Amino acid sequence: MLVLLIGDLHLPHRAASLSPKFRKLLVPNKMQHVLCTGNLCTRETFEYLRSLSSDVHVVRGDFDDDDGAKYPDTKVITVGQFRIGLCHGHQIIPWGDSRMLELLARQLDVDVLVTGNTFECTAVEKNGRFYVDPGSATGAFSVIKNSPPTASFALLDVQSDSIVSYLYRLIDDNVKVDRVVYKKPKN
Amino acid sequence: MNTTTQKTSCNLNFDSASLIKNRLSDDLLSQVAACGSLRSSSCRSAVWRLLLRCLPYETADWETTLSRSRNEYRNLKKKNLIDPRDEKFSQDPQFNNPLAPIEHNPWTAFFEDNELRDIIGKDVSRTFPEIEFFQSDFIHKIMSDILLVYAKENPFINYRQGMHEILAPLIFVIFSDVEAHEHAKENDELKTLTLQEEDLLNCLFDKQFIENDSYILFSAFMLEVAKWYEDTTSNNDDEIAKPRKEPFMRVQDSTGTTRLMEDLLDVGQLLQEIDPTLAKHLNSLDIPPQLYGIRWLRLLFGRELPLHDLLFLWDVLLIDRPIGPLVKCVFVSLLVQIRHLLLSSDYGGCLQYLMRYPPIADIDSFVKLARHYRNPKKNAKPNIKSNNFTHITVTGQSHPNQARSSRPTSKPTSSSKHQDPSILTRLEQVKNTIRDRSNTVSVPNSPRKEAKSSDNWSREVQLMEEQVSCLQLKLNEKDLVCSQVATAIEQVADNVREARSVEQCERLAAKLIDLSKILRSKKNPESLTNNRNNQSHQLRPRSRDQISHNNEMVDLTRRHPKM
Amino acid sequence: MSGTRKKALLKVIILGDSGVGKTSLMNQYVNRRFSNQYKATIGADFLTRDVQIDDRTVTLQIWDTAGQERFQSLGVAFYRGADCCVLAFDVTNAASFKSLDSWRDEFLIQASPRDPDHFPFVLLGNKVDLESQRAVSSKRAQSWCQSKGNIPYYEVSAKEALNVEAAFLAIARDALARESQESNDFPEFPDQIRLNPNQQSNSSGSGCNC
Repeated sequence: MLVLLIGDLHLPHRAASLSPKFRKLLVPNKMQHVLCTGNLCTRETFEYLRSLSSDVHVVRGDFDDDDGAKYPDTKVITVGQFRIGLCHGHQIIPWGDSRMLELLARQLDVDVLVTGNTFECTAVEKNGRFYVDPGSATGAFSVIKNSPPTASFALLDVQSDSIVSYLYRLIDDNVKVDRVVYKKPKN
Repeated sequence: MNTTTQKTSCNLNFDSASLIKNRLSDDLLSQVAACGSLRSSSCRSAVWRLLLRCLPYETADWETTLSRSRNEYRNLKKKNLIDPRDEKFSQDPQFNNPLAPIEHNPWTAFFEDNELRDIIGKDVSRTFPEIEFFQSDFIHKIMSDILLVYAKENPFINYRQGMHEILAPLIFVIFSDVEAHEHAKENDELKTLTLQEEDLLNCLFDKQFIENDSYILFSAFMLEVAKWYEDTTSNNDDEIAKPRKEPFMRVQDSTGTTRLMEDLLDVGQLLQEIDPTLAKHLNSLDIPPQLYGIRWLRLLFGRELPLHDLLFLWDVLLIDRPIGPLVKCVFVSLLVQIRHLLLSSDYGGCLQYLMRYPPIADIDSFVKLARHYRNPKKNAKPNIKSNNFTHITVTGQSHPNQARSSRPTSKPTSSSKHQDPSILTRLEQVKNTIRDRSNTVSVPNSPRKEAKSSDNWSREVQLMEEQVSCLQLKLNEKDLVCSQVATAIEQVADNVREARSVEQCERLAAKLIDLSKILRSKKNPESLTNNRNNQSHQLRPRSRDQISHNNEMVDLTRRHPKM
Repeated sequence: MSGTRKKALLKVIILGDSGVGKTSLMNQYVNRRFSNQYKATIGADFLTRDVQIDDRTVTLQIWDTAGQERFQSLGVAFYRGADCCVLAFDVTNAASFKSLDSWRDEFLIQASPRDPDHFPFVLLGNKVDLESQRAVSSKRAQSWCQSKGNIPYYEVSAKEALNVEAAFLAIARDALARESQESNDFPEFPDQIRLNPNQQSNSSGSGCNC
């Protein structure tokens, strides 16, 4: 099962569009699910995600428009044997703090926690849980970063007992892909 | 009436022991297949594989042949079913990730396969929905893999809708034999065999290799049938580029651009030779074989017969290869058998009979008819009066022609201001048709006495018995109604002869309409004629359901209809 | 005696990708029932149903086609004589919506109707009972319809018997309007010779083949 993780697009306010290099990769009928960390910000972007897969989940970012009021703050979906939690992350103070993230993960009782807001694409395992941040798909301007962030998103290949995450980053207008494997701990 | 409803005296009991004990040859197997012995045998799949040369006649070579072909399939699967997560591929995520549109990315092939799997999956999940065997995930997976591998190994044909229903009976037959063999072992029924012989059978009917063996059998079968699945767009591009622009073109005038169409044209010719009246009738209605025959050929009549009869038909087809000529004879036999229905129907009525073929009551006679057309000198024509249940379809539903409003089969009559002699002859014709129908339909053979030991088979047999009884009851009821209405029509005919005014004609016309309504509905025909004394019995209105719509078999233990 | 009002016989062809529900739609309309046990249509299937339009009894002859079939394999002349073409797609399957253009274009090429710009099409968006999985919005379908000469659009569900009756009634009306338009060319003759291909020259004006 392929799950797309994407967010912090800030379209159209902070970024004009999604890079054509990314558009070329994101085609319909490949992903079963789309998890969006939030800050789309408009309905149009939502429709775009909808065209990639019929199962789209969005949580509320701090800049989502009126539609955003409808999105929940957190969401949990089950894919195969894994419970995956989704939250934008602006609610977590301090932003990006790993202990607070762990707390949230335990609260939601998830194996995998997907958050955004940091504009950094990361995937780490800690204490048996997997934390993924797809970064900003458009590389939009961010207050917390000095240099323009790298555009990025992530794709999870959920298998029976492991998840292979592919991290796609746009560096010097080239797509670089990294791989991180997470195995579900036996308890 | 001398009907040949009894089976040709064929006591050949052919089971898996016979396979081993007898000297196998085309002749022997032809005999066995033709007389229907395979219906109650536990080695039909072996006979098919022998006939199709998947298996050699020399039993000593079985093990090596089977081993080789089963391995071959395993390799084909590995080669064609790409698992991008397999570690044999490059582990560099730059080239091996789900999204990269790179040719050597194993994911690219994976997604292409997925599309094909989707297409195949849609059909596999709709295979024989009325048969429990085909609803399991296990069978679905086997079918899907086999069809996918076949499509990739045969890109010229690829996967076309219908192949799944050629594959399905083959898997069923192989699976049944495997089960029967296991059962025989458990019940110690293989005492007549030596250990070595038993080993041979263990090798032949190996549960582990059902999928492999099915693929081999399917590939061999497809050699006979693939020509009807050809896709024109892959060859002869000029011809399909521009459609023929002929203003008065009828369906039968379009030339065959595929072998399917060519064979369907041949069928039309054959019908012309065998039954020119029927051919003329269908031609005049613009109903050539191309309209309804695509499915008949591609599925080898898989939807025109219930599974157990279909398998017998395929037994017979396999002993006369290439199957083309006999298939065409079967095709024409299907038409000839319902000629009385077709000749008295209009365009819509004919098509509904052809699209939903009235179930054959006696498959033996039917097959004999086809073989007679195939070789009239060698095979005698069976003597059957009428061999179809016309009120239902193969799946047990009410036939749509039952509900259709009446239409005259000739030109619409103008308002009759005068007596038209053709009306009287028409009444005569109608009366005769009804009379014909109320003659006894040939009673179907009782299901074979030697039911297979496996549960599946005995359940099937039981269902068949129930269905047959129910159908007989329905027919008897219809018989009565028909003869009563026939009498009434005779009376109306008399009255028409004596009629002197338009009003009288009107009244009589209305009466005829009433009569036709009776034939079409289950209305109580009590008040048919003035002359009640002529009637030998009176029908009572019954509160019984007709065979339920959704493929359910009637449960006779619950209701006891009066006669 | 009342004048013989000619019965009309209309040929309707249903086209669309495999699995969108063509067979279910036809069966829902003709037999008023739904089954999730329909088999894949091979070649074509055929059912008829009578319907009352104003004071006329119209017989719809409905052809259900195989979704995987290319036009050439069914034979060009199969499509001639169609009075209306129903295009069907699955609202939960965007690909089936994208195929509509080629279905429509191919049909017009193969069937060669006399007035292709005004040939009656009807679009059916099926499986609206699966709203949560919808991939093609009503708006999007409507605008496609408008761009193709204002084709009528019906959102239907063969499973829930939603709107199917209404859709086919409209189909019948459109087909009838086209058919009577042609017959208006010869209003006075009792036995009309139709210059419509696929007709016998001595059939009555209603186009009935019987």
